[in-house]
Amino acid sequence: MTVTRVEQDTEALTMTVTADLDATVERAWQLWADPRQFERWWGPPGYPVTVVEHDLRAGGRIMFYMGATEGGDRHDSTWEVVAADPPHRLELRDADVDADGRPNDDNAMTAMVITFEPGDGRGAVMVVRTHFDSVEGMEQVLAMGVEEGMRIVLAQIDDVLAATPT
Amino acid sequence: MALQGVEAAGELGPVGLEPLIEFAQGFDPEAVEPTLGVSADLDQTGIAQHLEMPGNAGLMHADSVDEFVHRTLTAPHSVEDPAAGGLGDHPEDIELAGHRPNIHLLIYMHKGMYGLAVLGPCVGHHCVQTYNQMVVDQVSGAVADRFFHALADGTRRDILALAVGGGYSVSALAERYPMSFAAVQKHVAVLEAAGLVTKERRGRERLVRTEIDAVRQARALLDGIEELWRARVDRIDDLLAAEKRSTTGGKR
Repeated sequence: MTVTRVEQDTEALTMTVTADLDATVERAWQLWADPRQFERWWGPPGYPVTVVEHDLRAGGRIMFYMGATEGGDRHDSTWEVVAADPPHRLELRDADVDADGRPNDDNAMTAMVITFEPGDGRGAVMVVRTHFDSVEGMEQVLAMGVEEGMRIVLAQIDDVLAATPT
Repeated sequence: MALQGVEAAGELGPVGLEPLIEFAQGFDPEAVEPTLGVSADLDQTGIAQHLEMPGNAGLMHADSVDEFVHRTLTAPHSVEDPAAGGLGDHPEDIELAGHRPNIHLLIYMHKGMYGLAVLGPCVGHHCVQTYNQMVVDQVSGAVADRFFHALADGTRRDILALAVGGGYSVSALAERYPMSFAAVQKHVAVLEAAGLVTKERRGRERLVRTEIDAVRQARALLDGIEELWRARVDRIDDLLAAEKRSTTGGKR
């Protein structure tokens, strides 16, 4: 497990996930800065992420959608780039309107601060701090994640079954 | 059902998940009485059965999972076990209720131990509490998702997930499914009867909201989101490792 620490603050509605990555800080930054890489890890297998806009500069915007395979639900997300200081710090915020200026109902109003620092060894430490504006905001994130979570669980069960001698 | 020894598991260890999965695979939901809600609790209190009826919560101890399952499947609903205590005697026990025609099997983790539960798919109010209780106890968020998985009807499960934020009216929900308004309304009514959702008036609309205690909910939600992030970091690891392998391979 490379997630080394998870702090939850129910009062402040924040969660901080700290992960040690086997990569340089510059390489870790690319996980976010390169849309093709971002697509490969943000969603689970079978729930593809498609980035449609990706401007990682302050004032820029990131738009992507998840799912929409074979009649499945599609979730659109739009983030505003509040600050970008490559390869050290990235601050994102859920946009309150989508590309067409309509209220962005699919989105929870949350903010994310992602930092990258050199680890003890050669690796990088990535810290993702997510702040939710409200319990409702968290609800929406999770409601969107329920299907994803189920897929994770099913995959885990498959793994367990595969490892079980018959 | 080779489950000998499972009940002796005081902690997560050599017993593991396999015997439970083995049992789950051989489990016949048809053989279970529809209104029964039971759980096998593998902590020091042994295996307990909870029977949920209005004003009647029973606890039964058995010497093995086999015996537990046998007694559960054959017991009348109003079992009054002489050795039974109320649920209040074991506040840490997971409380389950099944009041729906289909019964599912749930493997869960509680306080570091695996448990086995039999429950109805369209779980009642107590199951929502169970979901929360398990999460509050820092059980893996994946368990919560398994819980959702146990909701047999895909549409109702979906409605529950959507209505967590309380932002949908029945007609707004109906627009999302390839079925009639009446059919969706019926699903909502089933959920409402089970205490899983409430309707609140906002202007002309009646919005459907999944009923979960707010504070616990926040915690449960954070756990769920934590699980999403753990999975994401796992995928990042895989991505980086694959890249490293191909780079190393290229140099050689």
